[in-house]
Amino acid sequence: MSASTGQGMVDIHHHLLPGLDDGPRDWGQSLAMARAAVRSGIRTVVATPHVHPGRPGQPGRAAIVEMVDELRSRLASEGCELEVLPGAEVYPVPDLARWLAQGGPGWELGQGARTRYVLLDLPLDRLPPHFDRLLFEVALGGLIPVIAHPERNRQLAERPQALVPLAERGAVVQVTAQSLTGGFGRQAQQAAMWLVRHGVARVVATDAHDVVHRSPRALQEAWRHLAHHLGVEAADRLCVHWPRQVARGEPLSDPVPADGQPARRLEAPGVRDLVRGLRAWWERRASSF
Amino acid sequence: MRRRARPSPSERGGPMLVMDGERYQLAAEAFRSLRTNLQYAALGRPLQVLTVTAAGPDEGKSAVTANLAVALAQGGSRVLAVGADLRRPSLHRAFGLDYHVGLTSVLMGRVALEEAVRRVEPWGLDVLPSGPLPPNPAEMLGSRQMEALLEAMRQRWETVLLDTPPVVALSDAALLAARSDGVLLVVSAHQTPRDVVVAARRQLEQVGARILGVVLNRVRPTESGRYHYYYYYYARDHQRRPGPDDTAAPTAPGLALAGLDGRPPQPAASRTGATGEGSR
Repeated sequence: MSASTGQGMVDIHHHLLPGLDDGPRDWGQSLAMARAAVRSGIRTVVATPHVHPGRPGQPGRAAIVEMVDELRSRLASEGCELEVLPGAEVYPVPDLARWLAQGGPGWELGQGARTRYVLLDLPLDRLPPHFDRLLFEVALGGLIPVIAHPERNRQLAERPQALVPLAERGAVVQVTAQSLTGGFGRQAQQAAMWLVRHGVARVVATDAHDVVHRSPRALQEAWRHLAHHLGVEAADRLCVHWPRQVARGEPLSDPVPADGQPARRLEAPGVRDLVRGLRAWWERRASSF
Repeated sequence: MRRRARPSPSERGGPMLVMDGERYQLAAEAFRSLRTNLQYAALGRPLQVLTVTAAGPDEGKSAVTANLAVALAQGGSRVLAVGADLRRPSLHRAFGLDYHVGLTSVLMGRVALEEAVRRVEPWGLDVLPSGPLPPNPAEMLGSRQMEALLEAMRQRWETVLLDTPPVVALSDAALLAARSDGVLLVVSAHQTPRDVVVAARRQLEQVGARILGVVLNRVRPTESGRYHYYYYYYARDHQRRPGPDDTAAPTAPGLALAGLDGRPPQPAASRTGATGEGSR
């Protein structure tokens, strides 16, 4: 490995806090994830437990910050140099904007100094109803929505182009590291690569839940995959620079399509094109009889 | 809209504002003469709300809006520049603002107009950025709230400039043009095909907009002299003339205000050194 192997990576989607969701169950597992993160070149993690607004017993900002503080002191006593910031992965319920506006929960990512980002959990099957309107309302409340793992959503995996207008309106698109390396299947991988290639996705994150199946190490593997296909600079932008800007609450610097091509002009050739081609061929053939 | 199709000159590193400093005196002078031309055009009917648009993307609408706003403010007018391009806003960039609170926030009733408007010093110019970008821009710009908001703006400012999306293929600009006192059509020299400009004109005329004229942007200063105002009049032969300035294409535009009403342009500018190539 060369010295430039994605050092100082920032992971903005990581279920690091114990006992809050389907992530680690206790502090032991939590610390194991933190150690694995540091070993694989991650310097900063935004801890993002699942939050479902309106359901009882959801952790508020205060609870999350408190646990982050405890994790920090445990890490310090171990001499583990991982920076941990509070955050949340918020489920996009229809009245999300109202929940966010109430301010109490304060589920934004990272430090939220100047620009505040909020990570939105995307369901794996369908898009939430009126998703574009929901994103607009979140933005009206002064928050920039970060769309988590759209490539794992069945609808968007088939048509990643549908994310282009959302990204153009200012939403940040996050793809999951394991999707890029094929861990969630071929369709998710193709969609994720399409999104990073065309400068639509701006952030790669682990969405780590444990140290075995969905491990923090995925980010380094994704970095290598990206560096191989798109170059070291593109990999650093996606795994280091842009995620760091999100975690620090800074505005994102301008998008750079990894292949230098405009996003709209290229359409991913899909099954539909293939079918259309075959049909045209069949019709030509039939008419020639 | 192809957002990343082609970086605009300001994205290529040049500034959007040319009105301060020594470096772009030629362009600043062009904007001041554009201001004068507008004052002449306003003699007949008052021009309070102006729509600035272009036929296609990347012609420099926002840069023209920003610089014209500064020129008007320098002339002592109370000016509001509005980022009414809800597709691909860039007016805010000229003034180093962000766009996260602005026009759409006001239209949706989230903030009052006074809170959303930003004062830009040293010109004492007011700017209303676009606000978060909605999924239904045309609907918002055509809404009754927008109508009421324009009325409120007329009460408070002497001149309101609306920076809008391109007019061809999108209805946004036409909607606003119909509600404003005049339209400036920005045309990027050597770039926009003639039939596209004609289509833009037709679209604006269909909604009864009053087209004041064309602002010809990115005119290449030639080696033959410093002051060249090209008049654009259905010019077919804007061929490139390779010159020393070609590589550093002028982000500081040469500007001209020309008629689009079927007559040759009125020589309203003080210097009408149109060359044989530009005026026919």
